[in-house]
Parts: sequence; C-alpha cells; structure tokens
Amino acid sequence: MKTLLEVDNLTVRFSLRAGEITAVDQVDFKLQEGERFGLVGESGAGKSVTGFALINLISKPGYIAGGSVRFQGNELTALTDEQIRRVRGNDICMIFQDPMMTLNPVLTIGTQMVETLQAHRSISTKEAKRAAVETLRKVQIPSPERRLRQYPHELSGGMRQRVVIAVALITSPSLIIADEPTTALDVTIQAEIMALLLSLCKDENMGLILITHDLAVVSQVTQRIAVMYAGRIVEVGATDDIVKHPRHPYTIGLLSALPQNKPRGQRLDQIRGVMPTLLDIPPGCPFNERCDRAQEICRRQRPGLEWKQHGGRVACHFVE
Amino acid sequence: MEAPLLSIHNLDKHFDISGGLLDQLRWKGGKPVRERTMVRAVNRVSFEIRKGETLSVVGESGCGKSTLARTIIGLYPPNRGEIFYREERIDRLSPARMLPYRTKMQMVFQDPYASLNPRMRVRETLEEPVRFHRRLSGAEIKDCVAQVMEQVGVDPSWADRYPHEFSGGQRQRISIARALVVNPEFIIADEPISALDVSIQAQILNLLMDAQQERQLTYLFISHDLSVVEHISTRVAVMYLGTVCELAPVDALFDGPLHPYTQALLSAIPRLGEKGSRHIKIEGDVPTPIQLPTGCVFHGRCPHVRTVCTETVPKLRDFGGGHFAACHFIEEITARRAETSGHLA
Repeated sequence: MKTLLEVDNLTVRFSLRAGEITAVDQVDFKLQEGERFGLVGESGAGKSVTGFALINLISKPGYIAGGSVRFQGNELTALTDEQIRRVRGNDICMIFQDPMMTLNPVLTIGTQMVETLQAHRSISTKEAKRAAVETLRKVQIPSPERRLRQYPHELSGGMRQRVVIAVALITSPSLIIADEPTTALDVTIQAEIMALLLSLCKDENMGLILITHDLAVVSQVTQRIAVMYAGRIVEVGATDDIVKHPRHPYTIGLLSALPQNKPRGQRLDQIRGVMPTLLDIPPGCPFNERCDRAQEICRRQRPGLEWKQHGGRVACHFVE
Repeated sequence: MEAPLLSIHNLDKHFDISGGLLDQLRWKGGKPVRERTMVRAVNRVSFEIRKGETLSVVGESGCGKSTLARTIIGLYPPNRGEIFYREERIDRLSPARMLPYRTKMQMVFQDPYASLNPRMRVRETLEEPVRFHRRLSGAEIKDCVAQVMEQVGVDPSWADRYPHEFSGGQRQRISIARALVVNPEFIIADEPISALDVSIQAQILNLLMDAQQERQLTYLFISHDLSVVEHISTRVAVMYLGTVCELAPVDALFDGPLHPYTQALLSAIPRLGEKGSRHIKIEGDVPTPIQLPTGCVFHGRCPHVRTVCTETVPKLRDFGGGHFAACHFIEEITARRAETSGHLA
C-alpha cells in the first residue's frame, strides 16, 4: 500500500488579543491510499482546524506555525495560493456540516457542478454536464437530469448533502475530508449518507478523513481513529481496538460516558470538569486536571504520543 | 391504579401561517375567496404521564415534539383537545388560576446560551421565581438558592457571576436549577443535552436522574437522540408528522418495535463498533405538515402500504403490556418478521 498523506508535527496557532493560542499542537498521523481515518473529539479539541490546515485553509489571525503535510509526496504547506488551489477541490475535497452553507443558493445544482469541473479540467460544458449527471447518479439522486436545473432550496436536507458529496466527487479526488457531514441531519438520513460515503470510498479507493464528535458514527465507517484533546492527539490506533480497549484515560472516559455502554437506566460514568480553554492549558498533560490516574509527573511533563505494547500510539505516562 | 399526573386528550396544535388579509385572498371561480394556510404541527395526540416516570417523546426534526411540549406547559394554547393535571383541566384557565400550576410544572430548554438572561446574575435568575411564587424571607430565599445550586453542582459562591462566565454544561445546570428552585413535581425537558459535548452530556443526564430520585420528579423528555432516550426513559412515544405512531415501555419499544416507522428509525441508530448496515431504508422525504396525507400519515413512505392506509387513519391499538401502535397491519408485519428471522436462524 502506498502512503497518501503524511502529517508531521503539524502546529496551528492563532494570535488573539487575549494571547497566543495553539489550536493544533504537534499533530502527526499517516494515511494509506483508500484508507478511512477518523478524527474524534469534543468541541474545541482542534479537529476541524486540523482538517482545514491540511489544505492550507487557515486564515488570519491563524497560521501554520510548524510541521509538514505531504500529500502523494508533495509538501502542501509550502505551496503558493495558486498551486494549492489546484489541489483543493481536485485531489483533496472537503465536505462541511451544513449543506445549505456550502451550496450557492442563487446557482443551480448543474451550474455549481459544471463550474467545479471546469475549474480543474479543460472540457466543454456539454461534457461537464454529462459528468455531472453521472456523478449525481453515483450518489443515488433520482432523476439527475432534472436536478441539474434545480436550486438548492428545492431539495431536502439529505438530498442537499448528497449534492455536496457529488460536487466533491466530480473531480475524482483521492482524498475526501468530511467535517461533521451528518451532524445537521436526522438520524435516518445520517444512516443513508454514511452508508453512501462508505460505499463510494470503497468503490473508488478514495481516502477519507472523517471529522466528528460522534464515536458511534466514526466506529462504523473508519479503519483507524485519532482521538484529540485540547489540540493534541492523545490516542491513535485501529478503530475496533480503540472502541473495545481504549487505553488513554480520556478515551476510556469518553466511551464509558456513552449511554449505549451502560444498561438502561443506570447512572452514567462521567468525566469530571470541562476541557480547558486553549488560553490556559495546564502544564504537563492537558488532561491531568480531569484524570483519576494523574500523578506528579503528569503535571510536570507532557507525555509524547508513543508506540505502546498493544500496537497503537498513546500519549500517557501510565500506559505501558 | 393511581390517577395519572398529567393527561392529554386529542390535542391539536395548528399554526396559521397565511399572513395578512391580502395574502389570504385567492381567485376562485371568478370571485375572491379567503383561504388560510395552516401548519398542522400536532394532531390528535393523547397520552398519560404517571407520577415518577420519564416519558420521552422522540422523532425527527419537524415531527411536532417541541410544539407538543410547549402546548402542554401552556406556552401555546391548543386548538382542540384537553390537558388535565391531577384530573383538573388546565388548558383553559385564566392566568391567575393557572398560577399555582406554574410552580408544579417547569421547563428546561435546549440552548443554555439563549434561555438564560445574559444581563442577570445567576443569583437574580434563580431568586426571581422563588420570590414570585413562594412567600419566603430574604434569608430563606438565599438559603433555598444556595441549596439548589449545590444540588446541581454549581458552586454557590459563583452566584454573583453572569451566564457568559460559565461553560455550556454549567449553564445547563443553572437552567435546571432555575426549574428546580420552585419545587416542581413535573419537568418538561426539551432537548436538554443536545447542545452539549459527550462528556458533559453524561454529567447532565446523571444530574437529571439524581434529581428525579431525590425529589420524586416526573419528566416529559423531548429528544431526537435515541440512545439517550433508550437510557433514561420509562416509556417512549414515537412521533411522526404530528401524530404518535407508537407508545410503549422502553424495553418493549427498543427490543420489539411494532410500527414500520419505529422499526426504520431504530435501525438507523449508529451503534458503537458495529460494522455493516442494519439500516431499514425508507423511501422519500417527510411530507409537509401543511398538506397532511389522508389516512395514515406514514403511508407515502411505508413499505407495507395498502389501499386502506391511504383512506383510514389508524388508531393507537393496545398490543398488551401497555404497548400501543397505530398501524392497520401490525399483526401481519410482525408475523412476516418472525418468519424471515426464523429463516435466517
């Protein structure tokens, strides 16, 4: 298998009036071709900023303070605006949470798809339209020819998200970054969209980075996951392994806080306190104030994300 | 059996969205007629809530669950139907006569950012309802507020702060404290944890369950999150397009859903670590509540649809053990499911 994406020590900072914050702190992970990878965490953990940073979509007051992103061997952080634009929406596409915000309300579905394709390929409008119909069919939209002439407001939420996926797919990218793609949708629609994303990735051998707060969703779709906390990855490994045998105290806490993991009606396990704001992350391990196993060393020394005996990487002093 | 704490009978709530007189005028047969456009958000909903239980109402967005909650607590007047609290009819009371019920029934809202007044200190937010409803001295009010803050896990010494100084989870604790401070019997919680992170959701759910035990509270819990509902409910009502299609004790509903919509809905719950899809797909989209379908509201999307479904509205029927479902063909569907699962086994 070939490596598709290699992220090394990626760090994103924001210069705010209140101070300098590190939203993404030395994040590193690798993605093979066609691999489905999940970035999980609660709000403010830095998962979305990581997704944006991969395709250089960080704007002021934020900046990429260090690290590298290599996509198919090319360094992306060093590209000029012109060069990265050729990658974005072409080789790497991004899907966002709210389809109504992503689609342009005053353009027809057809125009938006044709425009996307023509921005990256020199083909005639007629051919582009044919490709658009083909892609809409792939995302299982009924009567695609008619849909091309419709506006986003004429479609339901689920249909809109299918269109967004179609716009992303039309250039046959090798990596899709999906940032909470079903969070705004109802549970029955969510199940359909997730099944669709999964089968498309398999059929086209497309890589997927799924950014979500929903552990259940991510566990159904991805092969590996990274759990983020306060801007850092605290645990990376095979999805099935992490879901069954979480090692990091935060991952353990997060999983046992889920109602699904307790008999009906029983008290839930809870993690005490809240995630620290990025302005005052405690020294040492960022989780130490909420962790039951915290010792003196946790308040003093930041644990690195290291390989452990079970074959995954965990950032904790007390995991062997 | 003990009388229910609250019961509603054939409740309807419709909203007139036709606008002003000029917007309502249409030409028909050569003369102007006045036509109204109604959103039929809640239609013919009946159920009872027993003392000490948690009845959850689930459904997808737009099914009328929040409207139902707001109608029950009196934020909207119902268009038709009756609401009884301890066998007293409360839907037509004057504000003065409604007053004693307002301390008995309280509500917790979804968004702790929007439901707390940003210009009031937490102390003021919590003291106001006590001062209004209960005759207590200043010192007693202070004690009462401090005690409730303690119970919900907010440090009473923070009472002089403003809502923006608290995190989302803390704010939701304050909202719950505001409901608890008048000593209610019955709390309607409308999506109380949907705006919160997973680790905070567990904290708030535990708080709600603890408060229920300590104070013998009765909850009407509105949520779209099925795994949360599965966890905390005594009984569950499933709503679709303004009507209740199934109502059952939590175990019966999640272990053996009867209505085709409930079956599809439950199959869509993402389960941790489960590969492959068990999801039963339903065709099409939810129709608009402006043009309600004739007959069964689910007939346009139901895989088991027959002619009778398009003509006759199915009634909620009892299938034993308090398990109600509104479908003409429950027996047939259940038999067919048993047969296919028999084949698989």
